[in-house]
Amino acid sequence: MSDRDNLTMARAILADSLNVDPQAITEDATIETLESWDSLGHMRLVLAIEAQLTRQLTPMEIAELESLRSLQKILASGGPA
Amino acid sequence: MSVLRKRPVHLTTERFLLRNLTANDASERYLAWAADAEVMGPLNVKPTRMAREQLAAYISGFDGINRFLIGIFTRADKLHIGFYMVEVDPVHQVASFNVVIGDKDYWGKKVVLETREALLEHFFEERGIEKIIGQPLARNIPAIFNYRAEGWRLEGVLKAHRKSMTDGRRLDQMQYAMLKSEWRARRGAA
Repeated sequence: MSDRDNLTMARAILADSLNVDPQAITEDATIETLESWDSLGHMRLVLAIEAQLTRQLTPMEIAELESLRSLQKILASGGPA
Repeated sequence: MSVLRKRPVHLTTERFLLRNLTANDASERYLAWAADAEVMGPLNVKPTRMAREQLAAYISGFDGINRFLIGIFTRADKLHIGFYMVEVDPVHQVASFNVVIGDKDYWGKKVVLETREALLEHFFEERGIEKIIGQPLARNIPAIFNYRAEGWRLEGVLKAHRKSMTDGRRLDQMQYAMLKSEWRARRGAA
């Protein structure tokens, strides 16, 4: 999957988890800049990523999940080996 | 400033009031939280059905000097919605924070982000604390979000550090921290 595809998927997953319009999520979106990114949305986001990757995220992946770009990076890491 | 003086915590934020709990706060609401797996599970505490007297005795066990049980109440209608447990090591001037939002209507409402700011300010600036830590389980995702969103620093992942109180599995735990200097720098930058 290309970087662009991963970014599109990341934006779709984040928008769905936070219940916002994907167009409202800019490429530099972070926990600090997205008002709708709250603790429950974050939990939905982690579960959605895990469903997509068919594996549990590591503690460090969860800790580093703080922006659209970090979500894109996790998706690029792929599912189970 | 000494950390050993007994002074009650009484803080207000935009939406909430924080104060020491007393035996009189052992309500049916609080008892229901203690028995709710969804509330207590993320803390690795086995849900427990207690009598009101047992809960009152538990609350009374917090001395308000080195161990604090601090209730979160709405300012508008004085509704008890959760609590903080704070333990202080007075020698090393380190405190640890734990928080439970028992009222599920307040989940996802940024209660922790608003109230913990006030507690950080209080313990750093009024009680002589130099470092505050939080140790959420690695799968306590809302808690991890809150530490991250509030600017706490991840100090490490404690692998298999806890035994699950429900099924015996080994659980990873995170350690987040905030130094007084980091708090002041962050506050100054805000």
